[in-house]
Amino acid sequence: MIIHFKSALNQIKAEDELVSKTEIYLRGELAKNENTKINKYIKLGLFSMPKNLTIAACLAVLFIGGATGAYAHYQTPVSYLSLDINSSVELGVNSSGKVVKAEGYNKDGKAILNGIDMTGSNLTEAVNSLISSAVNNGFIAKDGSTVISLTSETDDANAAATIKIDAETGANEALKKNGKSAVIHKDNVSLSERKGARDLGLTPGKLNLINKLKSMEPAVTVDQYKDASVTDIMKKIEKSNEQVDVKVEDKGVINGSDENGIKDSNEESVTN
Amino acid sequence: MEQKPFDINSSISSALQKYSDMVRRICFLYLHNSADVDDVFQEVFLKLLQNKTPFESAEHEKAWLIRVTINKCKDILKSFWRKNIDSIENMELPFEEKSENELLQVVLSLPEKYKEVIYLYYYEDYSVPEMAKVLNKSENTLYSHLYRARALIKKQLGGKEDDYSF
Repeated sequence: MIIHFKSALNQIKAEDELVSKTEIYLRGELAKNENTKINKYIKLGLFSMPKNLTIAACLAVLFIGGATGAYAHYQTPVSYLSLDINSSVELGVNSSGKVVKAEGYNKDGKAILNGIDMTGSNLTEAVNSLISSAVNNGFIAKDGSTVISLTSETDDANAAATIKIDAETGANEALKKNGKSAVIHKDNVSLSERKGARDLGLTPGKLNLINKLKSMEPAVTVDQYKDASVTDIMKKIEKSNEQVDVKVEDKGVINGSDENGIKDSNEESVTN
Repeated sequence: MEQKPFDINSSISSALQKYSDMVRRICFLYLHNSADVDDVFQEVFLKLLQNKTPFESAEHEKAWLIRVTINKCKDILKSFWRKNIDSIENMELPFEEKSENELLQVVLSLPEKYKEVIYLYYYEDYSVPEMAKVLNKSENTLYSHLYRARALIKKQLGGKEDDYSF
């Protein structure tokens, strides 16, 4: 009898129990793997991405972070200009010399700012627009007696000089353009003084003028002149100054300069 | 090309239906206890179902599975546990015919390297070049193995080799 190896081995078959046991095991393992994969995609989506995509995502994050940082830096004022007539406005200037913030401190200040977007413009253009708006709102007198106060707010002397020149140029251009004349008063205050003024709800420029008046007339209070126009405060300062000069002359001393705080002020009458 | 969604249940059923007997036969040649057979079944079919490289053909898939199963069986035999502890199970061959039993006992007693060539050559009808690919061995080596395996079987059958046919 010839026994075939093949037919003998054919009798070896997988037992039903073995097959069903394996089937149960495989279902469990493959389902577990599927869940693990899904979780992996949800939790670690970035790391399961192809390498190039991961690099691109990292670069995008860096770019967005860098752009956000640059934008935040651009939007941060490093110095300010206080513009006071009877309206009070403060402009924030960034390190590039661009206006990034404009704030009206009183009702008239808000009135001249109304409808003007000067963000991104240089200081000369911004002041030009504000003075033109002040003219349109009737805040510049026809007789040229209005005093416009331009006060730089910075601890940097060079920046202060630049701000004052740029602002004065803008103001002169606007007055000329509108056929008006006014007296321009320029000064500088430190950033720490700015904080004190803001706490009182005043622009540093106006508080600076009130303090000058106060130094000549100690009885004067901030509240008294808080809502006064710059023109009125300056008239009061001049008047006090004249009285001081008379007193000095009475004492037989000739003194042409003001020793009471307005010596540093640079006043200029602008006529059309 | 649109890829068909992966259906776990149908893939498992299909793979087991197609290859479970073949894997069981290879296990039969190498392993002597059911726990080892269970392990090989689970690992081999899991590997097949998790394989992401597409097979060129059904033959390629079958050859791949034979190779994986043989390797897995060898791994188990090489393990420390297997080398030092004998199985408590006495293998009972399921053949009614005494002669079938005798022939299979002879084949099972062969060294592993001879068992695999006998199985592939006589049962799966692989040619020596095909076996060389599956087993990753040179053709000359396999010709030698085949020759020596036949000689061993002949010797063990003690002159009754003409009663048997492969």
